[in-house]
Amino acid sequence: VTGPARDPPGTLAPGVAEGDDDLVSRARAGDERALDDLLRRHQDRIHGVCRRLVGNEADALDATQEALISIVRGLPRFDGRSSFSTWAYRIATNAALDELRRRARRPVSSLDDARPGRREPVQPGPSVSQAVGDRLDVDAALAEVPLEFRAPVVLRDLCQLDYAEIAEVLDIPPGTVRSRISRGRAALAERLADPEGNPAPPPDRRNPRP
Amino acid sequence: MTDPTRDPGQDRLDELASAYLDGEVTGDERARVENDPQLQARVERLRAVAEAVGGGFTPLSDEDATMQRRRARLAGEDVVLAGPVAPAVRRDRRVWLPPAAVAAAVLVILALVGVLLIAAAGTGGGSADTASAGKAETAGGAATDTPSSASAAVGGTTLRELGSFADNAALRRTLEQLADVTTLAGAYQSDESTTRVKAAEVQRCDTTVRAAQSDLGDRLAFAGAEIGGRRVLVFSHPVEGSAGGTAKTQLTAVDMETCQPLFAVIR
Repeated sequence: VTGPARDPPGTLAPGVAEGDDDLVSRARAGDERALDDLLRRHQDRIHGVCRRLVGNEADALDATQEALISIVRGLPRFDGRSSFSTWAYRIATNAALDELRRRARRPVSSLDDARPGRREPVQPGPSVSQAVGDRLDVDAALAEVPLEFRAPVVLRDLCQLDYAEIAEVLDIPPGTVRSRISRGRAALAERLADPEGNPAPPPDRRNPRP
Repeated sequence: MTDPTRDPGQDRLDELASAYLDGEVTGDERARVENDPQLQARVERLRAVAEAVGGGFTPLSDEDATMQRRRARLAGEDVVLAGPVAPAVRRDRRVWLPPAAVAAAVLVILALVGVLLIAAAGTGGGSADTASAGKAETAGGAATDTPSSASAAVGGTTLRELGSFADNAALRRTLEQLADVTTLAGAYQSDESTTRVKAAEVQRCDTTVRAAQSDLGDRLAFAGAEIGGRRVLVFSHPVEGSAGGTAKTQLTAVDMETCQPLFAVIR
């Protein structure tokens, strides 16, 4: 497969993969400094995954903490078949999903309703590119995208995992990853363009090519 | 999940544009997208969405980030240290005495026991009473025969015993299952067993734990345990400002002699 070169936002510095291997080895041997460096290197991205999946900062902090603990405790069992970052994002994704399940069991309060991840009244934006600059818009829109589409979109656009890695993290076929990312992005684009939820087909749909 | 309002043809075009954006297309698909202005427009629209998802959120504050890493390291310390290197080091430290030295040591011990028995016979039967009184006074409840129970003190603080454990992981599992983390009660077998310890020792270790972690509140409870013959204190502290507004409690196991944390469990 081929495609245009892309400069993803927040890409890890070159050479990080080799660095991760060294840090993992030292951390597993009990080197606390290496363990801290390893966590520090991936912490923001792990937090980002949790934030985008759960939709609000408070729950994201809880999920991030759980993910970091799981990473530290699971490090001796990390077999290196995938990269450390892929393994860590899998743990972060599971921590976020656990947090969403816990939230679903919690009684809903008025405070919960006011969380940024919930649907809030947002003024309709004239275009996707204008709306996407607003963090709350993105979180609110993502929260309305079904989780099965939201997770692969986040793993692709935030973590820069390729389709095979996303398939591994989510335990779904690579072909399914491709369709789910597409549908997730399309749903997100519609919600960002019209946060009130009115049907708003993209411009090119009004003049479909044969 | 199928949306009946969606046009399958449009979905295929979206999927093609989305995959092109990710570099996950074949050569033919790539040529098709690059030669179709409408597909290019779809790509640009999806690119804006992808960049929005990939950025724009506030990263963790340094304080939150540091605290989270510290808690994670503490929570997993015994697991990481139990990696492939630690057991080898422990094996290397084992010292085997030659049989002759062992035999000599046994003879010396037997001789000392004999001397003590002779001395006891010479002083009459009063020593038995003294011994039993001393045991009752020291235990203050169920007697403990652990080597490091020397830290137990007459007139000290009652120390609920969580029991004896083979290693840190065994104690951790018990702490993870405690029914009541605020009193350290509920999941161990010997919960009625108590001993006594100097209140100053408890306070010294409590101060050490809280000095290392500023977000711990006032101590809720403490208990004793034994890990492979080493005396351990377990503290229960509330974690102040727990993320998400969910009250959490940290159970911290520390070496009773050095007050150094061994691991922590957050409940």
